Amino acid sequence: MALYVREVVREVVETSAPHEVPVLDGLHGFSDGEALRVLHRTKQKREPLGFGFAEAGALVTAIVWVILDQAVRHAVDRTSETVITRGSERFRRLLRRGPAQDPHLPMVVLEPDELAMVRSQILERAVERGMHQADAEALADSVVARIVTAQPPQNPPSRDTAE
Amino acid sequence: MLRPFDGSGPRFALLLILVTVAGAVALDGVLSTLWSLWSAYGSATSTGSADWLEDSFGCLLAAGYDPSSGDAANISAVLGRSGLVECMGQQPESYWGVLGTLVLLALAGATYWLLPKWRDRRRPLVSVETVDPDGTLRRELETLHARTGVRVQPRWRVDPTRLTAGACVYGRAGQYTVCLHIGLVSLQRQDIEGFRAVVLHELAHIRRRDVDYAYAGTALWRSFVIGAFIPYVLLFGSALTMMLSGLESPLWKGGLKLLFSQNMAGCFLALLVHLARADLLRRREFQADARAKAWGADPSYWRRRDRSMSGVPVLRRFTALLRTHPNWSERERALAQPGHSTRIDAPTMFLSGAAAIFLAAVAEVLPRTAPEITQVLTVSLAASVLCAHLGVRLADNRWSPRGRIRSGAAAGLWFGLGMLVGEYVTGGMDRTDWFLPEPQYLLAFLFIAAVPAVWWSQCLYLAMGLATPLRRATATTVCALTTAVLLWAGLRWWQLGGQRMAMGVDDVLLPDYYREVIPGDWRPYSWDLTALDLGMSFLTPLHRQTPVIVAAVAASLVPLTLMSLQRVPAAVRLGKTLRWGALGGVLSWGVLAATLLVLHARRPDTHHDRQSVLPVISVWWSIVAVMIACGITAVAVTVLSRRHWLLRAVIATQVTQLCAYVGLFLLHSLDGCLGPMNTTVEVCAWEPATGADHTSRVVLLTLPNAVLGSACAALTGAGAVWITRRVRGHRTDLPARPAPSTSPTGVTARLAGGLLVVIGLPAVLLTTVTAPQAPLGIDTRQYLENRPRPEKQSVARTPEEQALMRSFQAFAWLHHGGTEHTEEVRQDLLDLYTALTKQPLPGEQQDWDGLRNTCAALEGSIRASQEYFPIPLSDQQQRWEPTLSTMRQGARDCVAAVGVAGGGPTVKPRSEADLGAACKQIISAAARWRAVLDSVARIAGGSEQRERTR
Repeated sequence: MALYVREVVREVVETSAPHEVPVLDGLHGFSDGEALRVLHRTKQKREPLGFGFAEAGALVTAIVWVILDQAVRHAVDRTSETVITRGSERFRRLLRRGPAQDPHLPMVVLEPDELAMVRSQILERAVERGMHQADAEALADSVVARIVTAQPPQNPPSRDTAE
Repeated sequence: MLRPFDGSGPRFALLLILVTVAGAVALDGVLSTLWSLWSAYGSATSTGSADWLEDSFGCLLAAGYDPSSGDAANISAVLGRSGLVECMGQQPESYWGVLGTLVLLALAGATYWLLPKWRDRRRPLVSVETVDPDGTLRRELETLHARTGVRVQPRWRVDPTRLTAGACVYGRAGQYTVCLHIGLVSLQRQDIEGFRAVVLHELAHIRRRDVDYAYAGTALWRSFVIGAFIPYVLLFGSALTMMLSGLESPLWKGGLKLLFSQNMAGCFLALLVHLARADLLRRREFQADARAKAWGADPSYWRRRDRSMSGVPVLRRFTALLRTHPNWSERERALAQPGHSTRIDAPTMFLSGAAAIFLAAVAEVLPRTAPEITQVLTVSLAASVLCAHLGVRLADNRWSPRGRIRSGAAAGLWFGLGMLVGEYVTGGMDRTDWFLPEPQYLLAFLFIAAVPAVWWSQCLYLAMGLATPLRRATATTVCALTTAVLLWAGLRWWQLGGQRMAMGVDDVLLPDYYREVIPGDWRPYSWDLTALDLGMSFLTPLHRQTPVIVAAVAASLVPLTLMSLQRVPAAVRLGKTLRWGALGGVLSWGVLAATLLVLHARRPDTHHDRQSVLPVISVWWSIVAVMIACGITAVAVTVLSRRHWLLRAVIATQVTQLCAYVGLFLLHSLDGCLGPMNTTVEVCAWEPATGADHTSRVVLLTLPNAVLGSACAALTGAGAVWITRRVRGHRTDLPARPAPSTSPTGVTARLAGGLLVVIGLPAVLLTTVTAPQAPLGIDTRQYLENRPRPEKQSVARTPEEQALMRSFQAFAWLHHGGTEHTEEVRQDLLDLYTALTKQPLPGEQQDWDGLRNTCAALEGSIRASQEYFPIPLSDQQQRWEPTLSTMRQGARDCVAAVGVAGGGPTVKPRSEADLGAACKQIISAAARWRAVLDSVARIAGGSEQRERTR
């Protein structure tokens, strides 16, 4: 069974920031594109009788999901067979439409350098958004660890070699 | 203590009614114009004549109004023309505005009703259970709801697209939805107190019915902005642009100013309503914060930093007024101050004052609405706003440890300033002058608002010192009613007198009138007459207004009653005030005696002049003496009083006034026995009738005016005291109010009751006795109608424009009654001609009775023609009036010559020679009359000709 990006995000959030789980529950019915638009939104419209604090209640979710989504899409682009497929995907993304069939982005195998990139970006973004260095590192590590455990071994030993 | 009522309800009502009424007027302008354009387009080929001259504007032109000349000249030209009111009344009323408003109201109602559903559909909200599988959130919400005691059960929903830790509430009457942002749900697991602060704030909005206020107000406002104001500004703005782009018309000068003012007023109104709405919503936010805190929310959550704002501080302050939500620093400050939510801000009062004046101005235009109804509506709303705000504020500060009493003067002055600006802007919509010639009279608005405000505050303070709730409620109601009438009195004064003075209408009416009506040598009194004319402009507007007289008497009787019924009699000492009043009375006698001394020295030599001219001058200076004595007393009492200064000043004034009336009665009853103070009489005798007549004339003009004038003087005195104390650096705080521990002593209560009867009864009697009389024996209505009008100043314009304007005026004059009246006269002339030329059949006698009746009918039709407007073209009018007068005289002579109708048929005329002369006179005048009429018709024909060619 395919593993989706949002599942990886959920697992990370459940361990690193359990109070943000309701955010994921709330976004359950949304496609990845819609959810990411919500997570990207910085400007909030003022309601006539609205009141509250400006702090975003989904710090970890937003960081992890956005970066992971970018990384996975990048990997998908890399592995796309033809220029046409790649172009159509980009065009679709330009029009802010989700993937052709599945509204949820499945997880793909990430290369080590991509994993490193994910880690550094999460670390950077988390510190930028006010997280302590140690917490940010823990978060980045947990994300990478979850990705690695989720994906199959990269170079399975050949049968000959095994034998 | 947190009050459920913060005084903003009446302000909301004022705002909603203002928006509706102003929308109706704007819509009427837009739809009527569009309809007339459409009609003109549809019937372009049929007439092409000047339709716009056939409406109310035509009435004005017919009466002599000229849009290109100044306001003062125009008012002078049309003032007192009863025909104008009649002509205006005959015009069909436009119901476009009312119909459009009903549609917009229905639209606003539908928006308000359907908005919650539309919101639900637009936003993908989820139930609480979706994000709360274990039920902790639901339990927490139920607990908070139970804690607040809010009866309505709101619907709880979660907005998963909002990541902030906030919430909002929306809905319609009784059905509310609290929408929690998903960020807030997340916060609940991290920081429960922060979560509670937000939810309690939203529940406070439900408790205070803010949802209804905010959403109904917003729906109404947006409907009217889109449906009425924007079309109005677009339509009249485009007309203004057309005018500026070189339209040639004699109406240009006045029309440009009027259009510009109307556009400005529209924009000002939009800004005013937005600011007032934002102010109300901000205040409701403060109230909700305070309520949430009272329910246990942690105030530390309001200690937050705002995003740094750049820009000029003044601009920032202004933009803060435009926002519907206060920033964090304001919220924190408000929460820290217990009475902040009921604080009276200067902008609040300013906006309310301006809104009240705007409402008064726009409501006048509504069809089928008597001016009295619009005035009552406006004044009751304005008075409710003043009373509610000041009352709630006072109730909050009643037991403040410093015992400081807020006089309400600052609030009243800001309210008055708002009225002043509102009057300047709305008054401009009817003015053709760009600037008000005498703008200093507008300062009267400061007194018009501040006097009722201070009176109400101080009276309410006394009312709260009464023993039982029933007494307190009754006293509050009476005080509020009196405040409303005092406010109405001020506005009425402005409407009947102040407005005209501000517009610089300079018609020296009374001096001319006296010189004409009362024969005598007025030369030594020309200065007195000038002073009388000026003074009467201030005094006459209110002297016949019975509610004002009642309110003026109540202004002193109500506080006197309240002071006598106080729980703690020692707290309000009356003796000193009454002593000052009595001293003022002595002063008034002194001033009256001095007046008589001067009048004696200046009295005319002839007995006739002493009997005719001098009494008028004597009454006038008696009025001045009474007013001066009352004013000085009021200022003195104000300066010497520390608490209830206005009430004390008014009570003392009342005592002074009554003493002055007694003195006046005695002095004039004993005229002739006073030696150097004798004026009109030489023989010493007790003449109470003379004294009563003189006194009643003075009373009529001073009974309300002395009280109201003294209140204004007291306010000025209080201002001077305040400035002096500020300059010297003194604190104005007072020692703490004594606790209500002692009970009223019987002696004090009885004493106060006795005083009440002594002072109150004569005042009430005077009110009832003097109300129906005329001041100084003046009945100027007839004089006003027929008096000679000053020649209008010639305005610089091209001969072409001048000719066009003349043709418009001539057309309007003919259309609005000129043709009708002249046709009647023509018919009667024809009848006369027939009667004169008809030869009796053989055996029949000449029908002399028929001839007399024809002459009488002609006299009647000429009289009606004279009663209609004079021709607005001065050269034609100069020829017109003599011909009419000659014909009328001829008709009268004709009737007289035939003889008075007796029992049987008239056999022969009384004087055939006279009859012949009369008929000749009529016929020769009729030829000149016809020539003038033809020439007016020719000039009017130019109007249609030009309209066709344009």
